[in-house]
Amino acid sequence: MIRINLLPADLRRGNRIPAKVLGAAFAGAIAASAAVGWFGIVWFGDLGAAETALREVEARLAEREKRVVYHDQLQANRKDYGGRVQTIQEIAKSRRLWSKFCDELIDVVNNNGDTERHLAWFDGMTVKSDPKKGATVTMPGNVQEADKSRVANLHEDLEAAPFAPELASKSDPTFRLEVDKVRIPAQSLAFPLALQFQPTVVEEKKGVKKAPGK
Amino acid sequence: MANWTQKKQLLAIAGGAGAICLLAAGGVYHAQVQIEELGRITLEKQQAITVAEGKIAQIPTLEKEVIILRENLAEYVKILPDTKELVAFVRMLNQFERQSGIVGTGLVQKATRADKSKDRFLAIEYTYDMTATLWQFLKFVNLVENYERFVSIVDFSIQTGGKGKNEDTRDGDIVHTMRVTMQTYTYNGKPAGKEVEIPDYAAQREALREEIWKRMQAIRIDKYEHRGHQGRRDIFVDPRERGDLRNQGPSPAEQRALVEKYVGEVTRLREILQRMRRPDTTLFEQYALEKGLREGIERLGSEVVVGEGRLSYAPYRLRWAREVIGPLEDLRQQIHDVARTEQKRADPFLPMPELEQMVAEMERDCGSGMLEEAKRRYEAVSNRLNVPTTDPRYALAVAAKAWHHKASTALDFKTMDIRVQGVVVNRGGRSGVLLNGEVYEEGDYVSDDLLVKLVEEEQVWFVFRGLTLVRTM
Repeated sequence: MIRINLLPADLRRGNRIPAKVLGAAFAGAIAASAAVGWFGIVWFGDLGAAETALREVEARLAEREKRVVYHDQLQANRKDYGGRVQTIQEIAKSRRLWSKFCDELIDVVNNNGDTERHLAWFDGMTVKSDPKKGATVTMPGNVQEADKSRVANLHEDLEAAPFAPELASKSDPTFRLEVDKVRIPAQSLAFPLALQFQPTVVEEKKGVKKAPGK
Repeated sequence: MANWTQKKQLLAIAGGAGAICLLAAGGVYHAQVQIEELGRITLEKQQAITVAEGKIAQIPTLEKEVIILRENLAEYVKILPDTKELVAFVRMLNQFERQSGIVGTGLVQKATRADKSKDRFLAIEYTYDMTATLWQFLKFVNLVENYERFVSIVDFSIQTGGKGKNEDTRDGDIVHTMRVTMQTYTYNGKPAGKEVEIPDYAAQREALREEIWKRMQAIRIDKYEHRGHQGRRDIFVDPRERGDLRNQGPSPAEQRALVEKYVGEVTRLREILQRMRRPDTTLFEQYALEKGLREGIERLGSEVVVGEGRLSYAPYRLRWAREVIGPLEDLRQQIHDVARTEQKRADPFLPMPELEQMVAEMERDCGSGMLEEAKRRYEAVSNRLNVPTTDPRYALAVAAKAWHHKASTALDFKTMDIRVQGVVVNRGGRSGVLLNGEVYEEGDYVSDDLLVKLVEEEQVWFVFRGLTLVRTM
């Protein structure tokens, strides 16, 4: 028997969309919608919020920018002035008062007029300053008579002098007997004396001349 | 699609939905990456804001610091000369030369580096040659060191003079040859960058005035007052005597004896001063000691001038200055201070207890015949006894004066030339006395102020200046 289906093709039973396909399509549509929705939330929500937050932060930063520039200028000024002030202070501290040193040295050598302990005099004096090593004082000296202990006494008094704490080193006592027949007493002990002072300013890598105010 | 099998259709739907989901997931991933990037940038900016806020918070402190430094720098650089002031400095050297007495023989400026613009502080050095005594040299150095502008003596040398017979001297001191290298700095005040404009600067500076002043103290340049000669020996001169020169003065041994003699004298005067100040010393002893001290100082003052001229040995000259001249000056000053303190006293009169004590002691002295002592006690403080009548001490002052009058009168009477050579005692009438060869009866005046009051066998009573006195046979 031949059966002829006169229904249009889409209404024919065999051609209807199967429930599986329909279900799958529905599920697919839901998944796609959810994915698109998620994207939309992330893109327009989170990303937008992040952009807004950034804009706000940038605006706040821009507000402070002028003050920061002012701060940096102040900082630069402080560094500049501070450097100059420090240099001037270093210059001022670098000075040794030689009139004070000489006064103290004269007192030590004069020893309040006590000639028994030592009676010394010097043949000259040379002072050379070195900012890194400190000043050097060289004085060839003499003590009256041939009593060697007088040289030691003088050295001992120099070690106790007011300027002694400022010394980095002092030459050790040595002597050479000299006779000057014109003088009374004729004998004396000649000795070299060298005083090395500590540097007045502790040098950094740059010297005073190079560092100033820079 | 209608012809597709169901399987194909399912695959197409799943594929389509999956593609959309993948695209969405990719988009979400991309968005997340962007969000993270934005978050990172935001965080960085927030950190920048935190840093900026930190900086902004520092602004008031920085402003203060900059104001203080700027103001101080303006003051600090005043110690450094500018180019014009270097000319003034050279002129100042000339003034120092005159003040100290040195003789300058040359001033040379050491070469400075060519590129001045690079250095903010440029060192300038001068070398100064001179001839001077040690004391002149030290005075010069001290004047340079105490100059208002910063000048540092970096090098110097002393070549001793006076090694031969014909040494060059000034004011009796040997002249040496010196070379001094002085260093100063010029300041380039040009700012390194833009000098920031601080709002409300004047008001802030005013508010920080105290702090600015405090910081300014940190730059004070050390100064020193040179003590001068003070009798000290020039340490660049051989102090030994020259055997080839005739010494007309005393030998060193004699000079030493001379120094020790006067040192002893000064010590004695010092002891007197100490005794004067002891709490157990009475006022009258104090006055006597002070008188002795004053006289001693006066005498010593005139003697030391002569003595000093006899000292030629340098070491003894220092001892002389330290142990004789110095202490003598000190004694003079102390006596002067004592006098000034006395002048400053609110009450110029003798205090009541001391006045009472003095009257009692004068009475005792007069009673025991120590008339000189009584007189001396009064005269030592007489300038403090002019007590006004309204003062409660007036009666005591009058009593003291009366005792002084009695003692003085008695002492004058004692010294009078009255020789009692005989008496005639008449119980019923006026008795008589033979004085210095002349006869006087009771009631007769021997002189204007001396009357014979009563004649007895063993003694004759006189009235002398209103005071009854007895002269025994």
